[in-house]
Amino acid sequence: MALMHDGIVLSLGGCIVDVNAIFGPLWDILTSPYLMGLILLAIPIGMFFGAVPGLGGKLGVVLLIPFVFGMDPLAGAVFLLAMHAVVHTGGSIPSILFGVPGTGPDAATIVDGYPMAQRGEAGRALGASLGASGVGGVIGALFLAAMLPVLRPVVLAFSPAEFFLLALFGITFIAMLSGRSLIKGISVGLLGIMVSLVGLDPHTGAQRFTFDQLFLWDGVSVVAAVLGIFAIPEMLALGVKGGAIAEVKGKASRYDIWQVIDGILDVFRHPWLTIRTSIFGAAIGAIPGLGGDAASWLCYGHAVQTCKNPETFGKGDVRGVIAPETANNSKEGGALLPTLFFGVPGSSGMAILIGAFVMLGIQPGPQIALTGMHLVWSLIWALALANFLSVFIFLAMAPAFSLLVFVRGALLIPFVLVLAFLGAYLSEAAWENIVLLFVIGVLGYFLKKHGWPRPPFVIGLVLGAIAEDSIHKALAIWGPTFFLRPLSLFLIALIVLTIVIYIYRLRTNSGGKEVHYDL
Amino acid sequence: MIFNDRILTSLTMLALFSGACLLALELPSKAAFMPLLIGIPGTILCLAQLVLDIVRQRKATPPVEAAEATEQTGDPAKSELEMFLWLIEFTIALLLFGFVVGGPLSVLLFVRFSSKDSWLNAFFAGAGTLVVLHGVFIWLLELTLFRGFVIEYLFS
Repeated sequence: MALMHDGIVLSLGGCIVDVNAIFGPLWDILTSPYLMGLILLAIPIGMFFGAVPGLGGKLGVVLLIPFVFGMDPLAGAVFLLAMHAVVHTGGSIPSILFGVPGTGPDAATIVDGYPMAQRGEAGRALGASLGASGVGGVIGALFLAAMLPVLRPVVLAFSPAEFFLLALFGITFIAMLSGRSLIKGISVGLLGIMVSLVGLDPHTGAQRFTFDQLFLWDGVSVVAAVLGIFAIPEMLALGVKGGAIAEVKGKASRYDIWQVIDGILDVFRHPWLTIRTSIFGAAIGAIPGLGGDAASWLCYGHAVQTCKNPETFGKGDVRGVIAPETANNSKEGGALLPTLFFGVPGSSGMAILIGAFVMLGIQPGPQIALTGMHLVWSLIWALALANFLSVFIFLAMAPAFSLLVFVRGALLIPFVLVLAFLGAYLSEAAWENIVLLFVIGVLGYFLKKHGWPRPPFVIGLVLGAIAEDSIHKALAIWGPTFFLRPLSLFLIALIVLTIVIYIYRLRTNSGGKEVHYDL
Repeated sequence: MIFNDRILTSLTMLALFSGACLLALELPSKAAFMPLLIGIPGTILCLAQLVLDIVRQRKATPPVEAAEATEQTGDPAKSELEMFLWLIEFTIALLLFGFVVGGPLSVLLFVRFSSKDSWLNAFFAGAGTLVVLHGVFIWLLELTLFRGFVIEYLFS
């Protein structure tokens, strides 16, 4: 171990670890009542968005954007990430108690959680889900921390050519996985890039698609576009559907606190399963676009395959709750890797979060490995703390959460609409953004209605500027042959592979019928 | 051929990309490079999607078409139209009366007339919105909210 004058530096097997850089941000958070208060506030909010079926983390981030205006970037990012991190912890409540998934990835929890509730073990299932979510989230954050030394040199090896191709890869990948129509997905992603090009051209100063509107000179507000493409269509669809948000019938199963504690202990009775599925979940989360559904179902499948008595799965086996729940929360840590370092969101939720980060003045991308490591470590610790503290907050508020599924859409719609308009206005203090939100919202509704996946739009919007800057730089350095670099060829191969997999999947699917994904 | 809103969505996307390409042609070459790089494949993809939609619509059997027609003219179409009218109402109210007046007013009207709740509930929803807008955003976060054209005109 070596000691340096400006901080403690550990040398472990040739690997230099700056203890101060790693644990300093944790100390900063723990000793800041403001940041701790924000995390404690974010947890119940995140659980609310998870527990009310149909809302979810994406809408949660979108609706909280107006509240983080004027906040310090670190505080705002910590607040939003902490909220987003615990969405699935809350999402397990309606899955277990009512058999209704709070969010898409929580569907795997129903398979064993709901049968447990039906045979009177609702508390145990909730406890197992809670413990698994907490442990999974912490392990996911540690996975992210462990990957940083490996990832940093990889990120720094990327040149502008690779970043342009990475933007295309991100859009192709997420387009394929967020809907069954690659054409629609890529088109929406390209539309996002096109919208990002509105404003003064950085190279010539020419006005591009501004229609002589001064408020468009700086480009389209990311916040207004994100709110328009997500919040407005969701509320319109909810209004068209009518009634309560969840179509829940019957009463919730009864449970007591001791059952919940017994369920938490179940997680520690199956330590290896918990650790394995947490690491798998985090690794799956790190693959851009694979998302939570894949993580929870793959880990559930892994649990079934590796357990000695798989016949009990599907009939209320607690391991069938632990596996998907650990994966659901640990994937958030993994998903932060490509989000922060490449600017390619690890999931559709991260796509929205990236938009919020940009709004806060945080530009994800390779430069964060050089100048933003304090922020990265702060986010890692916020993620771990939020997951850890969510266990205690859940225990205190569990009975109230089970009532959230009955929230009436009619009361939510007008309030959310006002908040969405407010967020759009506040992003640039321009009334024109109210009109812009309306226009994008109407377009977003029809995109949603007809199965055009919307997450690629946000990715295109965020990556558009990076893509343009990168391709101009790549052309200036290497000319039109920039894509012949080895790493570029690798990325091109990945893009082609993605499309080939899509075509293969389409052919093996029954008739290749289009499925309307609720994105 | 009847244009349903599925085809209209594809047409809108096509129009957005092709329009952007046409506008980009008037820009300096460096500024036009990226819009054309994105716009041309976007146009081709949307054109392909439009063709797919039209082919699917033609292939649809008469009973399905009849069912779709029923769906379009039934309750969902009506509630869709209602929701769009409410969205327009919110937009106009906020532009004319700003957030502090237009926001609570729109919430009150929505809860009373769209949800068909009692006046009391509608009043509480409106008052709650006012408290959040004023309490959180103006008082706590010290933000300046848009006052609306009518309010600004009256107070100027």
